[in-house]
Amino acid sequence: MPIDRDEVLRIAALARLRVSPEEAEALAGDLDRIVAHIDSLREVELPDDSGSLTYFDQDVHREDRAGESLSRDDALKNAAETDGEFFLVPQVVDKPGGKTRDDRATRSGGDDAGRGGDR
Amino acid sequence: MTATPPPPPASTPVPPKYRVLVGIEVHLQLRTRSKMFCRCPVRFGSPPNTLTCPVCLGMPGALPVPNRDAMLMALALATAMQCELAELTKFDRKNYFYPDLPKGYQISQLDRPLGSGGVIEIITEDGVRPIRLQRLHIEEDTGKSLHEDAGNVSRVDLNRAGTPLVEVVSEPDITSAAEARAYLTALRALVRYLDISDGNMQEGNLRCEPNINLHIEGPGGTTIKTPIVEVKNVNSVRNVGRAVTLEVERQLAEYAALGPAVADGHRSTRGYDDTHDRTFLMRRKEDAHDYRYFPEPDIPPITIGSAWLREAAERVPELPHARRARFVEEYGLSDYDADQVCRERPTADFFEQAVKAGAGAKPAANWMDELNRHANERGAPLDQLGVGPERFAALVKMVEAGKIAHKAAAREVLPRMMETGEEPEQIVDELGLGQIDDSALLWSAAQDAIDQNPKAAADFRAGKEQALGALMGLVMRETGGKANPKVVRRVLVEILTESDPEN
Repeated sequence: MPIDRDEVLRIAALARLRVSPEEAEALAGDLDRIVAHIDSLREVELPDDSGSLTYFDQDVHREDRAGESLSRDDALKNAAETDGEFFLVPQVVDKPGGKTRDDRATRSGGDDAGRGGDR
Repeated sequence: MTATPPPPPASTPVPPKYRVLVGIEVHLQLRTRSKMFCRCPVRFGSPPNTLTCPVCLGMPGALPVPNRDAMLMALALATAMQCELAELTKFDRKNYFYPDLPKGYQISQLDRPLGSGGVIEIITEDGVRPIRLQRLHIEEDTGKSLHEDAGNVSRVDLNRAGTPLVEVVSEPDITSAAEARAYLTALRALVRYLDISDGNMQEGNLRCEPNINLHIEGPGGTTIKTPIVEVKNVNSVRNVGRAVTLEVERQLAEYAALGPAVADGHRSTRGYDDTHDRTFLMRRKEDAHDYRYFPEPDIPPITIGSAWLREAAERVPELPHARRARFVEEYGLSDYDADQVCRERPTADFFEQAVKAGAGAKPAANWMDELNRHANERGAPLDQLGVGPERFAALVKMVEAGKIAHKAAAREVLPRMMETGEEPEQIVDELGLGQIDDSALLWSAAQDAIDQNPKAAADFRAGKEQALGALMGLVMRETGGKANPKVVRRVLVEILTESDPEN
């Protein structure tokens, strides 16, 4: 599928990138060539048993042992804005009411859990 | 004068027939020592931003490494829920932007979840029913954003970022508020039996998002499907039921207003507001999110071989449903008592040890509420009340043997056992609570009562059994309430029937 200007703008919006229509036009051509180049990998003939995911190192994991964390000063050092305790960000509120709210709502799942086609 | 009958309504609304479909997504925090992909400690209530490292802060070049224990806990839960376990599992990146997600993506699992399918059995008034599961996977938790009413900043604490979570997604098999509550109760019992999570909704280590819609019988035998609504901010078992009830009402009202066109609406996310007991619109999903999932390149896939499976299976104890059945079979408990006792593993353990120490099963089961009440009041676990199962069994046996009244045992003896660690016999002696079993004393008190109240005696002899109550009251008063009521009754009946003047 060729990558056109609209596709570039859509991807840019998802990645929170500001891209002008002119830039999008130029990027569409570039990205199209890059994807086509990567696509040529498909032409490589692979042995039959390589269809699985098993050609990495496998089973890398660790024991459940806690270690040292960074000091708070170090953790906050690269933040654009802090109050010495927290990272400060432009206000994000998607719910009314309450004084100080702990945003516990998990934003995962729901729309991607593969449910509901026929529901 | 004749009254004019009111005009008939234009159309009499007939409540439609409908089916409720509820699926529930649950996120569980696993009780590990360290985070999912780094060695930062998992600890609730630490000062903000003191439990982070380059991995969970999302610094470039940091390398996540999966926590083996978290994997085993998730596998144990999947085993307990009879999921099909993945032979090869992998992690994926789920991309979206939010300030409490430092990397700009969440490490989750898309197409090779740890567990697929499976079932949770729920218990409602209508009996036991299986709720099918869709999947179980591991992911990492986000940080916390704190939003102020005033001001234009949000504060972000990343201590929680990277804490291991298990997500359990059910099929939309749940059909009522009661079933939704039962589902959560059953899942919570399961994770506590497995000892993999505190399962505490108030503290947020068990979070649930029900998704709800209706299939309404429409005109001409059509089925009208209302758009699915996902409800967030549900923070107790009770509120899951409320969320379902409120949504069913709201979706029915929407159908009444819009008719079949209701089916053209978009899926949406609503929040539950427990102060006002209502749900409010958070967002519409006009186009599905595009999370641009792709395989997490920093974590190689993991083969779940026999060693993993064996270790996971070893972590699965006797589960609530099996234990309930065994308690009914082995100890003769009713289904109800067995369910009450088996809901929490510490309760079931304590009960079983007390019965093994000689307490009767039925009375011991009845006592468990009392013990749990003390545990709640003290904020202490059942096994740290200062009364172990053996000494508790001794108390239950004294009540069973009629040596002390149940009320006195519960109100006086048990609290003192917890405070002082004394043996129940000793406390009963010291407080003079022992029931008077001395027949001679009782016989004379009974005779006195009959002499004082000849009318009651005559009434009883004439067949009015309730007249005995007055006589028993007299004896109890005479003995300071310490007489064993069963013995008093027997003695009174014996005197009254033997010395019946008409015999």
